[in-house]
Amino acid sequence: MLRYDVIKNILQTSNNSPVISNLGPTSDELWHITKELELLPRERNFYTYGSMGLCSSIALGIAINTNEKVVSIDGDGSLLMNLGTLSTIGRVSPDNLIIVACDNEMWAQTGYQPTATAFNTELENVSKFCGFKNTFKCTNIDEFKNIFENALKIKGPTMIVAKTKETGEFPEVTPVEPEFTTYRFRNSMLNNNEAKL
Amino acid sequence: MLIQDIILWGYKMQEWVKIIIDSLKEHNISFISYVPDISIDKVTKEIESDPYFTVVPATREEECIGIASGSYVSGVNSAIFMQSSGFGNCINALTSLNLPARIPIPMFINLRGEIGEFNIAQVTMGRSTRPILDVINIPHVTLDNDINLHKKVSGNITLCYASKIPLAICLSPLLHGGKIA
Ligand SMILES: Cc1ncc(C[n+]2csc(CCOP(=O)(O)OP(=O)(O)O)c2C)c(N)n1
Ligand SMILES: [Mg+2]
Repeated sequence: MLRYDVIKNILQTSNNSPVISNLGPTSDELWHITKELELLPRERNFYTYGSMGLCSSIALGIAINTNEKVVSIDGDGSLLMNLGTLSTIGRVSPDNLIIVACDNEMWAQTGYQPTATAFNTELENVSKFCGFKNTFKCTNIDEFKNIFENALKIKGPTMIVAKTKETGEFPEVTPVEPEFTTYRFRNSMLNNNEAKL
Repeated sequence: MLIQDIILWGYKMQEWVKIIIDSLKEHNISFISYVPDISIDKVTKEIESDPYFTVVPATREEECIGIASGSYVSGVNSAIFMQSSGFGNCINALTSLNLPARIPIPMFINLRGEIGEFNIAQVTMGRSTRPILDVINIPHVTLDNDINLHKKVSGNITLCYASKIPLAICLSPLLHGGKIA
């Protein structure tokens, strides 16, 4: 399965939920697919450009402050850099947080070097023992669609490990300034919470 | 130590702790993430027992930055408590998330490596915290006495939100007089 299909399915099924994306191709594909689906500007997309490892930590901070489902589209390399955040999520246990780990078993964007998930680390088991309520693993897109549809209904925290393949190509970098993302995302959350600017 | 000293010392601690907590509330900062430090504990204990605050203890200070940034972008102002060794764990997060994305977060940092330090492992990070803040262009203020404490804390938090970059409020043992551990 391709990360592209995973992200597309998330955008098609999660309405206006906040979506936070891992640095690199994950964030770039998120923007391009949002455009393809004619959903731009999707104010609830939070693209990251650095802070490797913090995608799901950011999603946790968002999830605590809202009742909406929050989706973190993370990567294996980034999750491995900050595995501690899985234990913090297990500790806090926000029932609206879904992590989709696009696990290609490599640091793809830096030259396709294999990560520890290509060896003995299983992110779904790590998450389970950190206290995630639900953990899933899938290898094809039809499986993913079913699991994700269910994940939007059940109480989390939920980890979905999607075993993805690389195509060898990466899209152009997301043309959205990070400070604009912050401004727009925050405004949309404030309006939704009926708070004042 | 005389009994009066202990009472006076306790009173003083409460005063700076109270000023920090009042300043957080003035700025609607209701979300706190921290990794423990024995001196900062005087504040974080109070915060944890105050229902105004949502508190998330993290495994690593860099994670605090991510969690607190998530809170800010979802519309809830946040602050972080840590010691200077933990600031060393945050640098890339600050420079690659908070600075480019303009996410303002006040960080309360207990400065190790100051007077009374006994642990060689704390010295270099403690003493280089403020020079590093200067290099990455993050404003900082050091609290080392009781003079104008409220203005220094609250006024600098105002500045933090106006400039939309993080701020470091460094706490010296001269302020909290606390045991170092
Ligand atoms: C702190 C830090 N270390 C290293 C890098 C270089 N780097 C950028 S992305 C990346 C790999 C990310 O791997 P993964 O999360 O699996 O994403 P993928 O490339 O597979 O989509 C690395 C090592 C970085 N940006 N920041
Ligand atoms: Mg990867």
